Amino acid sequence: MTSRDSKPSLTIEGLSVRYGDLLALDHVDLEVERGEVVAILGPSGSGKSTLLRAVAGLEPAATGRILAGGIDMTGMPTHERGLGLMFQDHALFPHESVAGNIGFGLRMAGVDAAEQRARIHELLGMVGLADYGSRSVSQLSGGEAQRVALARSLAPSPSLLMLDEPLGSLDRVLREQLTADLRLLLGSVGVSALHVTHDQAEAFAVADRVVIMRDGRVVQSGQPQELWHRPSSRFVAEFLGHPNVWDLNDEVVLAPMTALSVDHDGDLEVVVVDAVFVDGRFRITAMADDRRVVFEDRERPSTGETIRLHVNGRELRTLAN
Amino acid sequence: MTNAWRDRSLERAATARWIDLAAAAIAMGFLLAMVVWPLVAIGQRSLAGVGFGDVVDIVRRPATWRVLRFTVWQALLSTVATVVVGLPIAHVLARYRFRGRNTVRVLTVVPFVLPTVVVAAALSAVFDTLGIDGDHTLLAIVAAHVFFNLAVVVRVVGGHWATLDRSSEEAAAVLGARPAAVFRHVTLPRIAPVLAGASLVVFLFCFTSYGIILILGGPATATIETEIRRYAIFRQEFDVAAVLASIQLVAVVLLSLGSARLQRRLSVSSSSRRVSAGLPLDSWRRRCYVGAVLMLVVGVVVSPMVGLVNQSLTVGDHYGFDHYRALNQPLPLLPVSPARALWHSVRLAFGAALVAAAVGIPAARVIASGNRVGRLLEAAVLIPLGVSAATLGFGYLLGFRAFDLRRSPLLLPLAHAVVALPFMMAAVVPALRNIDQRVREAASTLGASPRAVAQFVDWPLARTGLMTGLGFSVAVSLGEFGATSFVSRGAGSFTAPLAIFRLLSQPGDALRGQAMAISVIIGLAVGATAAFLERSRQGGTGFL
Repeated sequence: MTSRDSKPSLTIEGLSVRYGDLLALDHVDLEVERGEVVAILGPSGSGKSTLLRAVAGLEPAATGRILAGGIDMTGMPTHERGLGLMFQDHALFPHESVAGNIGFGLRMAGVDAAEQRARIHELLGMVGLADYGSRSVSQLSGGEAQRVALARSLAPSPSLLMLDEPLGSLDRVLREQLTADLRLLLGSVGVSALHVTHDQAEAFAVADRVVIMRDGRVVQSGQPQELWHRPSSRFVAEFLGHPNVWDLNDEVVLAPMTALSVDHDGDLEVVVVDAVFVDGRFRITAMADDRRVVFEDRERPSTGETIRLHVNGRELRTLAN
Repeated sequence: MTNAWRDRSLERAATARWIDLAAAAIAMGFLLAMVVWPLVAIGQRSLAGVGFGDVVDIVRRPATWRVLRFTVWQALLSTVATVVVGLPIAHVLARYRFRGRNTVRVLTVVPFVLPTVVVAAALSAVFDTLGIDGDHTLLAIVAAHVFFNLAVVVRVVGGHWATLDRSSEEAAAVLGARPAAVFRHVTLPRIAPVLAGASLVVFLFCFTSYGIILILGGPATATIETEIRRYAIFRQEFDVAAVLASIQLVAVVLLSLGSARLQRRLSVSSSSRRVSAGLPLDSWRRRCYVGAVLMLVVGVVVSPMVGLVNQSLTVGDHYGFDHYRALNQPLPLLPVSPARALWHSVRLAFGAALVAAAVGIPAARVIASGNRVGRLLEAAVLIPLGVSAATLGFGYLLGFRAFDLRRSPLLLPLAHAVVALPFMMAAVVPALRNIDQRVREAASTLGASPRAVAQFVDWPLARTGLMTGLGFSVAVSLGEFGATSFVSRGAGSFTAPLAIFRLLSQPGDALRGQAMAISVIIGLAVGATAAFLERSRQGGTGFL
């Protein structure tokens, strides 16, 4: 593996995948550096899961190349690629114990029994399930199954770990906790990872770099703060959760919530429609003529009240439509 | 852009397609030869063998009409009786909580897995023990049909009943409805579709009943099935037999279509799958009611089995194992000793199970893949379930004359495999369908080659299903009588069910006792297999 050190973990060049007439992936280029965690973020149907499946060799590439550690893997059968994939609903082997699941990849690689046991033990400890080895997977809770699936995909030390909506089926509290755990774990293992999600917060929390997809194409990629502050299009801004994207004189303008503040001398007059308490502040929805304006404030205004806002012009951005 | 990997992956995909095609061809070829062709032969004979005018003539004969009328009449009576007996049992098992409920539930299913000749022997035994001259009467036939088909009503209707929540009934009671009114206006409408479906299935089974009517009936109780046999085997009038078989086929197809329509309507109406907790026996009225129903179970289900065992052990005026010991003595009536016939049956059962697996596994692969060929196969595989085994047997007589396959020692195992195939599929297809494609993919991302996926994922997950299918096939073949009675030739293919039939159709206590003894042995073997499979079955929906 040392010979791959200088090469990126994964390079994708012009990759397309076709399902009949549908172009699920349209000439995608992507690179994952060694040890980098990249999140693929997009709405359902944007091709993000297809991208993972194509890299894993579960979908054939119509065009393009997939290189891992500098080696061309296009068309290589899945089981020879040595990449890890953690499935959306875990896809644990129902007939194997927890230890049997984690050890499966090691068995396939012909690792001897003592070494298998040691590695399984190590991984169980790593995901916090030290005593679970002999349990049946049908007895696991959602969070436990997710940890076993993670341990299983990490066991053979893959050069790249891919995670397909790994937290999708869990409830919110567990999800936030596991997101933090996952980030720490991926960091400590130092594995390169490609993490697919439709959840912006999860992507920002886990990844060093986020790639946003739409209709089978990459529309923007960058570090979380770059994407948040400089979205390239209306789609990206809205998908990341910016509420104020306005059409002004043939232009699309993004007003981040931080650009709006309550000010008696402000030049934007709005009528309050609703106020919700979120993370210590009120998130207020108001109307300026027929345009929706969302901003935050410490005080709760009453519904129907007219308020003046100051707009910080330096924070406004013009977007491509 | 081409590289070596891509070429190899295309090659592999081509190989996989080839394997699928071969699997479909094996299954299709078997079904065409062993199911479709015999039926075509019957149809052809009944149309081409005689003129159309002759067909009309045969149909219009008073004798034919009598047989048709009686076939429908006994099936109708049997169905009504089964529903009348089955409904209270279904109700008690679905709605009340009492010790031994599971035992009673299993008990009501046992007769359904017993071979028809054993069922007939048991009913004959209980009538004999009670001193009722039941042989050759409609009463005996109906009683045997109730005994056999009770499981359909209890399982299907009771299973649905248990999932209905009680609040509607309680609401009706609060509004002033007496129990009888609650049943009529609230419960009955809710179970009616399922009840209709179950009744149709029972009617179909009674309509095509063969072994029971042959053993318990007489000249006055001839049905289409037994007449096919009489015309085909004793009178050698194949044309008449073929016309009767065609009538039978048309009726079965119509009934099956009706049943399928009902099923479709049913699947929409079934909502909750949760079984509500049973009512406790906390009042005298409830205890009396449940007690009375349990007595009914004893009378209808338990007493024939007890009667059978009793007669097998009765030697003159004392008990003993004489009939069992005598099984390996040759009898002038039979081409081989009963023990030898039992051995033939066992050998045949394992052969048939292997054939059923050899056809069933590729067929299940194709069916589980869910493509158009798969759906066609799925329907074809179920044909033997609706078409009576006797009709199939007659089809073999007609269809295989040309190649003289009738004399081939292979025909019997193949015929048994056809009858066993629906049961094999019922076990294997769900097992294959239950394997999540993602689990296979997970294995290959962990480095498992296609062979390793088959070995470490598919096989462990499908193994239980295959074993269940093999067990069912063995059980079905052990008791197979209908097709066997047409196809069996000579001593080498003389089976235990044939021996039971021969012995029961002769007068004489010693012969009767031996027939009962063979019945007990076969019944125990089949019952034990079914009970074992029932217990080892892991979740999933069963055949019934």
